[in-house]
Formats: sequence, structure tokens, C-alpha cells
Amino acid sequence: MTRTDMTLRCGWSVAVGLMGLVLVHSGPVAAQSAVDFTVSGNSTIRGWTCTVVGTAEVTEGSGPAAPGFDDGVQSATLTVPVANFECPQDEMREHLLEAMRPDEFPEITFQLDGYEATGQGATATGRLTILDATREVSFPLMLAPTGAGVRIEGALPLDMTDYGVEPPNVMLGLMVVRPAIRIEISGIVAR
Amino acid sequence: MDQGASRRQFFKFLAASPLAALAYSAIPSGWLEPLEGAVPPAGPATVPCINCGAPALPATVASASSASIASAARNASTLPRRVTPQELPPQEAQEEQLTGSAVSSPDEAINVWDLERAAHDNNLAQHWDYLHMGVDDYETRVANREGFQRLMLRPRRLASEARTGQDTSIDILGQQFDTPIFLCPVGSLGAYHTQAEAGAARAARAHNAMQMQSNVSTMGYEEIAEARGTPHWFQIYTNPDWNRNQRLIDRVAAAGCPTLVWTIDLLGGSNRELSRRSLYGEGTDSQLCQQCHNHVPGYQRPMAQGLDGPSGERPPYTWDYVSRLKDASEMSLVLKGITTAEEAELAIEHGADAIHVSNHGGRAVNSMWATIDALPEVVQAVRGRVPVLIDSGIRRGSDVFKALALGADAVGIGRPYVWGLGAFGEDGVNRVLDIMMAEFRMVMRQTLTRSIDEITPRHVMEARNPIMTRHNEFGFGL
Repeated sequence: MTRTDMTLRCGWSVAVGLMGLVLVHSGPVAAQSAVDFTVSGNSTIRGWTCTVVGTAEVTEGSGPAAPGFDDGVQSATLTVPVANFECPQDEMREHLLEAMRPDEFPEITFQLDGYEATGQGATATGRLTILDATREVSFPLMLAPTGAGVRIEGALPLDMTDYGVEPPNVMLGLMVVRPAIRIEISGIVAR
Repeated sequence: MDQGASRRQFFKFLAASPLAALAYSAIPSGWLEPLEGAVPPAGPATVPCINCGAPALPATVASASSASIASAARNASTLPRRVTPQELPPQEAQEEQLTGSAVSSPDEAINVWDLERAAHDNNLAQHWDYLHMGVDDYETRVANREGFQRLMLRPRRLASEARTGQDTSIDILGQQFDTPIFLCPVGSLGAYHTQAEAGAARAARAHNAMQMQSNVSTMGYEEIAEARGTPHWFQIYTNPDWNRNQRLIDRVAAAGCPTLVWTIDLLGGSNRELSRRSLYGEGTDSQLCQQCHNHVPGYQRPMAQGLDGPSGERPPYTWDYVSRLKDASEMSLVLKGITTAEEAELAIEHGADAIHVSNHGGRAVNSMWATIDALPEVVQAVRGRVPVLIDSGIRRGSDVFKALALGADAVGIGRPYVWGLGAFGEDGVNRVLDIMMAEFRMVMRQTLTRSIDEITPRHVMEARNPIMTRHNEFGFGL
């Protein structure tokens, strides 16, 4: 191989590599961030709260502008790893996992289908899947741009029996968890 | 066919007949109930709706002849009405206003009593009883509310110049807070929500409100301080063994506690009849209770842990004890439970850095006078030498204003924030503080006061009679 051939071949390789980089970066990029989820509810004994760190995967672009997302949001998925829930008491965690069956259904997911920008955030609409039941839900999200990304905060009240989750019932009904719960999300979504 | 079935068929026949509309006024009232039961259940469109203009007629009547409809319309007010909850007529709104409404989210709460109802519905009866109880016949609890209701506002309508801005901040014992409202020490908050004292601490932090932790808390001082972000005040029930007290004082002082609050209104005990009734029988030994109460062998409350050691002196609870507590650490010392001028004077003489006017929310002694009634003589005795705090019976922003007007420097709430916690955890406590601060700010606007210092005794006056408008038949609304 002549020196000229080598130069040409190297040049071609660099060019292809650069093109590849350009191609990779020209499409929308999904950014994944860790966010906090808090699940709260009541029982016949007292209120309770369990927490878990999940993920928010957001792809920007192709949507109406919303606070922190000037080009809009193309897609977003929230994922909650059920087995990682932490509760104030071991027994409470056991009851939660018994009801949520993480071996069969390891994740709770929310898939964004659409949103409407509001003054300080957006009203998100999408599909929430718990166990093997998927329901359409809509809830307000507060969005605030920060140096590290976009701070998101929102809360979604729901009835766990709508998703086939049996409210924990302990000691032959001496303590019964109420079916109404509230899921809160809080964290910073990277951009 | 049995007699009951025959009777039901007869009622069905009557209900389906257009003549029934004409006959309604003549039917004995005892028959109307089974007659209604025989009518097929009406859908939402046919349910009488007083406010939406739909005809207030039952389904069978609506399908009758126009003559019978006109007749039935004349008699409509005599018919029993079934109104669905989503179509509440004004009468029920009035009822809810007087008794509170069991709201399903913090934002729905209009006043603190809505959260009381929600907390009641979502907590174990025995836990509720512990929070709700007064002593003996609840006279002190009632007196606390009546004291505030007997005090009236003297507003200002117009000023000589524009008065803008509103500063609700206070400085107390070297600390600045954004609100004069503080969270009183209440024991065992974990009984009402698993967030317990930490949930209350996060809400206090969000409002930059002062918080006193109870000696009998569910969480340790350090854990609560971490949730709050800064050290908070600590309330102590002294033990006869001085060494245990010293170890406890050393522990909270090491964690950065700036102020120790000694509760002196329970030294003689209290007659808590409701608690005794609710714990009758097995008490906390029952299987359900043992899920949480002492079910771990050797369990000790968080603030009782690590206090074992050699016994020490057992000094009597005299005024010298105040000096002893004061000298036990670098912390400021507050005496909680003072309700007279004489004791306020003695407290200052023995080193108290602040006076907390309190009757323990009516949980210590029956037949006590209201703290708002005791406040003026304490303030007069103190003469500005130390801050004066007050609690017991504060439920409204206007109560906060009245207490400040009579010379309090900070105003504590107990049950209301626990109602919020028991209903919705931290969010519920936030809602309580939001509601009470919004009410307080409105009174400030109505009195043209722009800062706490501008709130003076001239903004209040005593009314002739106590005014009780809330329903108290089941104990709600106090």
C-alpha cells in the first residue's frame, strides 16, 4: 500500500467516523435520570409512606414548549422498581411487596402519551401500568429549569384496586390498608 | 305467596301507577319509605337537583300525565328526597362548615377542622382518643376555645398613607423564624403517620417555623433535626433521677439543640379518662397493638435510649430545680405551663429565658382558665424581660393574632398540625400551616398591621359572651 493510499484510507475512515458521530447526535437523545417516588396512603391504624428511587427517561423535541423544555418533549417514561421500595417498618414492606408481587411484575411504569403546558409546568396524560393492568391517567407536573436539568414534581392520586392490587389486610382484618393512595414524584431530569 | 311478598307487589303496583302522584299527599308517611324502595333506582339525570334546575320529581311521577305532574309538583316538597353526595345542597355545606369535612386530599381542606375529620377517619380509635382527650370533663379544652371566641377584633379600615408589605417574621431567643406559629411538642407522632416527627419537621422547615420536639417522640432528636435541616427545640419531662436528665440534656445539647423546654404542668399527674377507657382490657398488650408497641424485646423510646447508668440525686421539683436545669447546659431554658403572674416572676428570677403560657391543651388539669385569659397578667409580670409563648386552643389565624395582640411573642399549635399529619403526613402539616398563615395574614390586612410589632392590645376587645358556633356533639370542632 502506498503512502497516498494509506492517507486516503485513513482520511476515509475518519470521515466515516465523523459522519457516524454526526448521525448519532442528529437524532433525539433520551436522557435517563434517577428520581424519587413516594407512595402514601392511610389505613385503619395510621397514615403511611414508602419510598423508592426510580428513573425518568425523557426524549426532548417534537412537542409544544413547556417550562424547561423549549423544544417540547417527544417521549417520557417513568419506571419504578417495585422490589426496591423502602418502608418505615420491615413488616410494612413485606405487606407491600406481597401485594405488588415484584417477582411477576418488577416495575410500575408510566408512559407519556401527551401533555398540555401550563403556567408552571404541564398536565401529563399517559398510560400507568401496575401489575398487569394499564389505565390512562392524567396529572399535573410542576417543571422548573435548573442548572442541573429540569426539576419535576407531581402527584397522582389513585385507587389501587383499579389496578387489581389487593390492599394489604393484616391479622384477619384488624388492620386494613385503604385503597386510595397517592404517588408523588420528585427529582431533577437531566437534559 | 307470603304476606311480605304480597305487600311488596302492592307497593310496586302503587309506585308504577300515575295515580300515585296524586295520592302522595294522602299516603301515610310510614308508607312512603317502602314505596320509594319499590321504585326502580333512578339514574343521575332523574335525581332531584335543587340547584341545577332539573325537576324535583321521582321517575314514576315524571312519566305520569301532565295533570298529575302538576299536582305532584305542588306536593314535591313533601316527598322524601334522595340527594347524591356530588349534588350537595347548601344545607349540607353549612353542616360541613360547622362540623368539618372528611377531605380526601390536603388541598380540599378549607380549615383545620376538615383535617381533624380526615385524621379521625384514618387513624386507630385508640390513637385518636389519645390525641383528642382532655381531662375530666374537657372543661379546660372548652375554656381554651371560648377564651379566643370571647375576644373580638378591633380592625382598622383606612390609613393616612398607603401601607404595603407584610412581615410575619419573629426573633426569639436569638433565632429568626418566618412565622409566629410554632409546632408544640406532641408525643408519639408515629401513631398518626409513619412520617412521624420527621414529616412535621419537613413542613416546619418549609415554613421556617419553630418546632418543639416532645420528650416522648417516636423518633430521636438527631433524626428529626436531620429532617428539619437545623436543630430544633427540645421539651423535657424530667426524671426523678437527676443523672438521667443530665445524660438526656447532654445528648440533645451535643446535637446542637439551642433551647430546652421544661414542662411543669404535669408534675402532679392528670386524670385522662378517655385514654383509660380506650385502653381498657388488654391495653397495648393486644396482638394488634403489639405490632408497634414494645414488640421488640428491650424496646425503649428513642429519647430514652442510652440513658442508663449510675443513679444520681433525686432533687425535689422546686424553683431551685429551674436553676439546676439552667446550669446543666448552655441551652436556653423555657418553662412551659406557667399561667399566673406570680409564677412568671419566679421563673424569671430563677433563670428562665422564656415563659410558655400553657395548660397542656386541656390535658393536664380540669377547670383551668383559658391560656388567652392568663396571658395578659403573665405579660404584665414579665415586662418584656423575656419572650412569652402561648399555646392551647389556637385553631385560627385570628387566634394567633389575638394572642400576639395581648403580648405573646410566638403562638403554638398542637392538635391542628397532628390532624394534618394524621390525615396526609407532611403535606397535611404543610396545609395546616398554609391555612392558618393565610387566615393570619388576612387579619393583618384587616387591621392594617404590617408586622408583628404593630399588633397591639388596641386591636382586640373583650366581648360580652362566648360565642360557640361549631357543633361539638361528637367532640369535633374543639
